[in-house]
Amino acid sequence: MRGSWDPSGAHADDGGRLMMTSLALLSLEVYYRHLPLYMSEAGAAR
Amino acid sequence: MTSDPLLRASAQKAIAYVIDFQDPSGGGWRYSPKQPGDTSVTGWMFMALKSAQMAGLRVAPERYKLVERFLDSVLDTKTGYYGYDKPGGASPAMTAVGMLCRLYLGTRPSNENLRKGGEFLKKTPPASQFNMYYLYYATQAMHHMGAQNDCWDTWNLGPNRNGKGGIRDFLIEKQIGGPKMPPI
Repeated sequence: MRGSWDPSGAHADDGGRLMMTSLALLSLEVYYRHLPLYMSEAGAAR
Repeated sequence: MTSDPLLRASAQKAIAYVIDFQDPSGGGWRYSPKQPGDTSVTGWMFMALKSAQMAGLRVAPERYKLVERFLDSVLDTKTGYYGYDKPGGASPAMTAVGMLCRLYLGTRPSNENLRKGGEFLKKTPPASQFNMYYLYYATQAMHHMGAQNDCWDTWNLGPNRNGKGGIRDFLIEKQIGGPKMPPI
């Protein structure tokens, strides 16, 4: 269980621990996986 | 992602399947071929097409035009919110999906509807509803919104930029074995 996320909230019953952990990881990794599509007119994307 | 040529033919077939399922009039996807779409399934299918294109597979540009048509049909232009299969309601999850699709389709973060959507997601921070589907889409949408309306910093680090109330610390805290858990 260590390193995973407990099923909770919408879709948790269907997707389970694997879905929770995958989506959490893909969210935490967003800066490493995706360059911002735009550099905002309001300033450089951070 | 791996660029393994052995996967190419199968991946291109999967994309052909996705394309065959798209509603040719409304532009969305749902659970059976060419059924009028919903925002949730449409978001996942469009992400599949976009990922395929980025990996070097062929996706006809008309497919993206159809997705725009679907998004127009579920966007409430007064609020900037996206509905499930029609405009209306106030779903942060559907709004995050709609925003991410628009950003990939080329709409700039300075677009009025995207700015209004960004404000809506800022008002619906991670702790307000622990829904991983929402958090996944909102994190990507806000990442690409970037500095527009301070979307990314507010979402990632919270309203005071100290981590409190932001997605980063929220997720880390919920991980089993994370800082709030007793040592194993």
